[in-house]
Amino acid sequence: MNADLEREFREFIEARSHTLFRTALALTGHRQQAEDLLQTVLVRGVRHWARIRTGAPEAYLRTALYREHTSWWRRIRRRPAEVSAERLPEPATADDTARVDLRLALRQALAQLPAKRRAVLVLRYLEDRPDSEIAKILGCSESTVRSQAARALTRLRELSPELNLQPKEEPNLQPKEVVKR
Amino acid sequence: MNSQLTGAIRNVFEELADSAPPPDGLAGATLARARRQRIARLGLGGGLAAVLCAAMVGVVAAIVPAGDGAPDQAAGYRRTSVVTSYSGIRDVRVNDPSPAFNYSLLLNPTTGSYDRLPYSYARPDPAGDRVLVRRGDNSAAHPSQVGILNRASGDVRWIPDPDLEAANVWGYTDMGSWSPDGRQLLFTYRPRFGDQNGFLLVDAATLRTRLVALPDVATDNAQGLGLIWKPDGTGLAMTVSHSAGEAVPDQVTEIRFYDLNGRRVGSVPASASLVDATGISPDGSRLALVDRSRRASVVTIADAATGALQATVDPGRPAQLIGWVGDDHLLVRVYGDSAPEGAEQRDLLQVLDLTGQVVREIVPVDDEPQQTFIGSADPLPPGKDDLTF
Repeated sequence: MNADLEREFREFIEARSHTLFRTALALTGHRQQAEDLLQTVLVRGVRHWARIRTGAPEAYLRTALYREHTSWWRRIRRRPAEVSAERLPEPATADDTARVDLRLALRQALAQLPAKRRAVLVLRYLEDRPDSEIAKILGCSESTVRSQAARALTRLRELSPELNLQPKEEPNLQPKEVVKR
Repeated sequence: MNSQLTGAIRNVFEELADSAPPPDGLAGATLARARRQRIARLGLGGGLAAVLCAAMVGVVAAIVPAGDGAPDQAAGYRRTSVVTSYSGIRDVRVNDPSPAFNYSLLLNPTTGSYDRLPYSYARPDPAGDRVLVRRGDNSAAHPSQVGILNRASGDVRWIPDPDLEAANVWGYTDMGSWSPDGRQLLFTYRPRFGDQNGFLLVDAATLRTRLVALPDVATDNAQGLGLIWKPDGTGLAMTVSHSAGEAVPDQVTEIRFYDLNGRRVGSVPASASLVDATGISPDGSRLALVDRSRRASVVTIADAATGALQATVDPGRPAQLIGWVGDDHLLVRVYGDSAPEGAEQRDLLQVLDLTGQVVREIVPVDDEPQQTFIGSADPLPPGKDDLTF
């Protein structure tokens, strides 16, 4: 990579790293793993920068983030087996214990989901992507997205029964509007 | 489903996403790491890099480095094959990640180089004269279509949608495969609605399509895998799997065989899956099975007649089975991301014998094809030994 390309890459990282890192944090739930995941993908971006710079490098890297995270070999190496002290601190307050307990339970339950199911939830609920886009990003069918999401939500409820608050019908699981970060 | 749960999920993800800023010096650290890897590549290069890599993972007894005319060290192994197509490659210049914009690289036997095709799937026939191609992403803008490319003329005959319940039949099939004699195409068919599950056989000459009803592809196929041809072309095989709860969602119980009319003709017990048409050895005697649920790379070799375990082949690092090379070797793609720190992080194609020993290693031409197809190396021009395995 020559000096111009390197400067361009640095500028891109400075401008866009916060959005990519947000995704990595949501995917991993773990700061150190998020840094590792993002840097792994960015190193690949360096190798291909000359090619991807003129297209849509952020979209390329974002897709790479999801695919890297959901690839099974990565899960073998980095699958978080349990909640550890390295996890991000929960900003608990004494006067809102129940709500914090719920969020903590949810974090712990999310940590136990297989990577692909968690990725589906991140894309659906953090990025508000429609299933068709999720399918494209993860390289699978829309029906797989739906089944993965359903299984993930079922699993969350199994892992943390306290998450079943006031059950009621949700008419539409699809996001009301698409917000691309 | 309750909306409070989904709301809580949103909140937790938002909290996580905002819980820490990106690390300081990320660009510099990334560039430095990329530089170290590049230096490692340049310094180690070629066979030495391969040997060092193998030593670090501690599983390979001998490696034949890629190179022009390098002799193969494994007794009885001869290079007869070549990658005929890298299929389903994402074009990084296109913002839209839809597979409609994927392309394929098809080996040109005259030049020994790979030509780019504007199709998301390209599978050469056994003779290499025609190519099964696919385009579209099952959307209104890009409906799925499959066709047969004539390599000599460059023309594609698109296969008409058969008159079935689904409006877009090719959007609900697997990618398709050639019969061993090249006369028919097989598509496993699982429509989203209705009960016309089964498989489609397409006459490659007339493009006439026949649906063979086979409910098993929906009821006994939790993994959603396609049917595959038996090497003699007389029948098909399917991995039978059922969901056994969250802990074991898609448990494999057997490999089941059918004739071309959908009648069951046999089965063997199994606990792992036949994942591609090349999962049966060319002589039909062995199955190469992969346990998808355990996320391991170990390939189980089983007797095709009895299901008895014959061997386990461990690539030693995360890998994807591509298929058989002859009756005694497997081709796998090992992922560059799993390379030891400091080694080149590039995917490699490795030929393994059934003890897991690497007998040949080549560098694929592109990073991330979704499918890799192999065929005979016979028509290659001289000087292309680096492509053969």
